[in-house]
Amino acid sequence: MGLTYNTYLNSDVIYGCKNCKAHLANAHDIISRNFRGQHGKAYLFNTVVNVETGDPSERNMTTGRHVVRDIQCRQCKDVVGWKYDRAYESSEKYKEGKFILEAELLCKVT
Amino acid sequence: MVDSTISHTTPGSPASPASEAGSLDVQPGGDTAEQFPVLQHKSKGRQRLLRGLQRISSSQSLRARISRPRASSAPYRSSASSLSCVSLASTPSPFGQPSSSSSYFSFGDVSTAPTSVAATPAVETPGYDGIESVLAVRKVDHPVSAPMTISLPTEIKKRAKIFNFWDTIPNEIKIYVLSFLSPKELVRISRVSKRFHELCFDGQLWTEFDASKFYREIPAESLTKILETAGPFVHDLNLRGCLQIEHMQRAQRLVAACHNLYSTSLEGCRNFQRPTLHTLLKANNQLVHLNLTGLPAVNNATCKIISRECPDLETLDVSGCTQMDARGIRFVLEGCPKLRDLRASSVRGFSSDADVATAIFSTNNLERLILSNCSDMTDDTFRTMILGPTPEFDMLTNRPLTPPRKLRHLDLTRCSRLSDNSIKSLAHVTPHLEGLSLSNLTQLTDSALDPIFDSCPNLTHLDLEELPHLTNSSFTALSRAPCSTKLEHLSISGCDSVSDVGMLPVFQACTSLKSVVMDNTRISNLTLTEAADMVRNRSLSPPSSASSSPPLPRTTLELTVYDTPLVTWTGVLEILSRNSEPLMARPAKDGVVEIGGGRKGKEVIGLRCFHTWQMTVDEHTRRVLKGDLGGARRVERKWAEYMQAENEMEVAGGWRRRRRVTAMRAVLEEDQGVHQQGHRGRERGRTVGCAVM
Repeated sequence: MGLTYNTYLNSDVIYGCKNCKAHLANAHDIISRNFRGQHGKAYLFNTVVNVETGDPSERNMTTGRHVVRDIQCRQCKDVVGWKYDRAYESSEKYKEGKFILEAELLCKVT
Repeated sequence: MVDSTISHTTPGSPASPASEAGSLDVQPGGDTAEQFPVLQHKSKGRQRLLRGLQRISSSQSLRARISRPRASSAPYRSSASSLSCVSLASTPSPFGQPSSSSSYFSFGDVSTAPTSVAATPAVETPGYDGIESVLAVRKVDHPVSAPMTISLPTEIKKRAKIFNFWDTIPNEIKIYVLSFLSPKELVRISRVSKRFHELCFDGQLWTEFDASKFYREIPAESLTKILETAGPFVHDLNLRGCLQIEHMQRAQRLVAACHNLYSTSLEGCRNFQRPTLHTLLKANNQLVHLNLTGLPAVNNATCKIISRECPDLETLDVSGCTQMDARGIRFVLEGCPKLRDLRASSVRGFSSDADVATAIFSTNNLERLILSNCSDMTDDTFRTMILGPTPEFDMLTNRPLTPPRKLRHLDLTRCSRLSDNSIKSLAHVTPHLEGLSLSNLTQLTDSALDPIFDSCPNLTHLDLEELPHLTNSSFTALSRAPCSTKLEHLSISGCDSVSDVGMLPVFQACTSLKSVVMDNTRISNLTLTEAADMVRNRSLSPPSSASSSPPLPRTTLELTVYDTPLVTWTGVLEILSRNSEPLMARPAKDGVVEIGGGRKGKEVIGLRCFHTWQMTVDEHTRRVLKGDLGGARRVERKWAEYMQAENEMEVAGGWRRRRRVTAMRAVLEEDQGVHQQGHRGRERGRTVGCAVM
């Protein structure tokens, strides 16, 4: 496959993986910060880079049943959050295709 | 007839009776001077025709015609014709022009003559009737064409044709021309010729090598070759993300070549080996800016080498270097007295080594200090950094007597062990502070911030995210502080005790605000209205005498208010309607109403709100920024109707209302549909307010 290069983002405030500082997402891409993950607060992003997605699994969240996949940082293989594949409630449909990154596992990279 | 044509095509053909045959040899021959001028007049018109005819003639002539005179002259010019040239060299140059063109055609292959023969006589230049008779005479006599080969004009023509611009300009100009190309284009152009290859890899063109634009595409070998050739010329080297370097020891060659580096960034080159890095540092003694973010190769020994070998260092970024700790920072501080900018986020060991703090304190040269994520930093360490190991306090005011710090930017995000005690020490000692980030220092309360606001009059950036104990009183203090007029960026995301009471005064007092992040707080529509008022007031420039059409509106304030349950659609609508207002009129001193905002243009608020409304807001802002205020107001109206209908539906639902609402929603979406991405169509949920997940 060759070397896996990282993508670098251009912005004022960039969130990166806490371990390896790989760029993950742009702070402007945040849709909402009102989410909770296993480690506390989590942010909903439109797009993230440098992540690998895992296998889909169905989970019951506070807002209902969803099909989600875990995402890992491409460089250090740490789980940093998850991605919504499908939401069974119609009020949660807006989350489909978007990513959740846990605030605890992120750091600001400037 | 035949002969006359031949006479045109054959240079220096002799005066031989070639009438019958249309002989095709190039017959050298002299010509008398008197025939020459006549011939020249004739040749103008005939040449034109000939030219046209020769174009459709056989390929041989074409080839001969368009080939360079110099090249073609050899086979077609016999010595005799050159003799004729010589003999006519004394003829005056007024005939140079036509003769040159005729000589051009004189190189044509004679074989074409027959084809072009027939048509030629038909063309006669006006006013040269007499020529025909002369011609007729000459037709019988001999073809004449010696004048066509006057050397002087040919020489000029020759020079014009073979003048090689690129070869004659000096090297410095060539380099200047090439300096406008991007690195990719330079590499492509280098394949033109050997000389181009040398030129393109001339070191002067590669003094700034920024691989961050093409780090994925450039193969390791090319990267190394370019840097080796440029070698000592390279001053700014940015190899961000170039993982391919460590392939097969190429880095060593690279490092051996570059020893004049001024600014280097190896961010993200995680394959870089430690010995190579050390060689690089040892070779470059003039390094001023160094970025080694995220390199596992950096350890304390590296820092020692930096301190020894790079005394001029001013900027150092070792964020995320997991193999080093605070002792390395200490080495660098001791060895590099000019260090102004130190970024050491996520570096461990700040509390275990007390000398680091003292070192930071003693070199009062740091202007930017980024220590985010240093979660083991304690209060004592930080206090020592700011106040010194044994600070003295003024007895009366209880303020520290340390000389003021030069700090302009300080970032302490997520150093969660810090509390009020140490942050308070920033007050009165850092008068030049412009940027301060205390996000996620969860133990902080108002009592730490108030003295800082009082004593730092230059604050422009303030990051106070996720501080749950902050209350409105800090912000009222901020609005009264001397820095209020300079504040540009404020972030209070996640401070859930802050509400309108605190933010209204802030918006009233801080007129230079450019961006405010207020999500997850208790602010409501009132704050939004206040913000809109402030923007409107500041966009009213004093009446300008001769204002031509004002510039397009621009976004001067960015507000982020998603996740705020008290901000409803009416507040957002208020902002939208303020944005789409035309330029306000403001009465001038003498009672004449002048159009405000003339010179500066309209100021628009950019809004990031609850996601279901975000599309409407974006569309509205797009239209306002284009200047289409009418379109923007249409969007507003439709959205307001839709939201009201939804409200009613929630309150007293019925199938009629529901249908109306869906119809409205469809219209709304269609109106914005031009700019929509397909998948977002589904995201319009039915929630009216901002539902907390």
